[in-house]
Amino acid sequence: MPTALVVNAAHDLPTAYLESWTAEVVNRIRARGTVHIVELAAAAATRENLERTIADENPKIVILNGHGAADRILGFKYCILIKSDDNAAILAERDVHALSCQAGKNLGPQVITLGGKSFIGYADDFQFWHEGKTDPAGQVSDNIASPTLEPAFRAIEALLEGDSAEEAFRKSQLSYAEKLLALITNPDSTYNTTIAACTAHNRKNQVILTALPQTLL
Amino acid sequence: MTEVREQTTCPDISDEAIKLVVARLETTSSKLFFSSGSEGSSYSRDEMIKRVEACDEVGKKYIETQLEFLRSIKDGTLLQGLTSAS
Repeated sequence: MPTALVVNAAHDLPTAYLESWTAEVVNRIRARGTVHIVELAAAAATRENLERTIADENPKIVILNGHGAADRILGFKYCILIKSDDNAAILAERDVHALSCQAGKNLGPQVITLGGKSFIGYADDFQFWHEGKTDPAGQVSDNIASPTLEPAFRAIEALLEGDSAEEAFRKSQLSYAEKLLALITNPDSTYNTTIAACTAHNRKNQVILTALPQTLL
Repeated sequence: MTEVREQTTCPDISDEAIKLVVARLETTSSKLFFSSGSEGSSYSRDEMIKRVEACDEVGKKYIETQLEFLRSIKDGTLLQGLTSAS
């Protein structure tokens, strides 16, 4: 059974939303028993724990949720989890998903160069509106956040279900498109402009990076 | 009484564009919050209006996102992308 490592650096409201949505996905996947999921959550989302867990568990899939920048993914209280020209090589031979602002811009390409199998992430800021819910149940049922978060988490769920990175990306992009069509036809301007713009932005900036085949037929 | 608006600090974004984004925000529920993953904060609708008017880092980025969306509707690229994806 393959192993997946899921890291949630939840320490503020936006990352708490990501953690709650991740929990929903992880619970569904765990119930199927097709992948062994190891988690690093909140204060455990540190570089030291990440590196040790990757070394010990050798996960095929690595899911990283947290703040970020073009060259880094941040953990608990903004500690650096992964950084370009530093420890990106630990993601070699793995499928990586980073719900982390801009990490797809510089860090993602370097992960692939250093041997990463695939990298799905975002080349710009990941934006979303929400109702400011502070409880996991409220965050998951937040109808304002849902049109933006659901497509993003479709990619994560697809990877954990065993899909290839390309298929996970395709499913996520399709979900974005479906949500956008529903948003722009909603008569409420909160949905058809405010939320739609963020959803469109995230969809446009979602990237997939994969290693080139070793041989060309 | 004529309202005097503060000069924008965004020289590369027109006042009209800022007013448009503010107007759109004003139709959004005041109970909502905006988060951008590069920052830990969540900004209320009213805070976002202030940031857009001030054109600070968060506000400017928000304006760019909104204007890009409106442009993509106007030039048809948004719908083209959606229908080809389905």
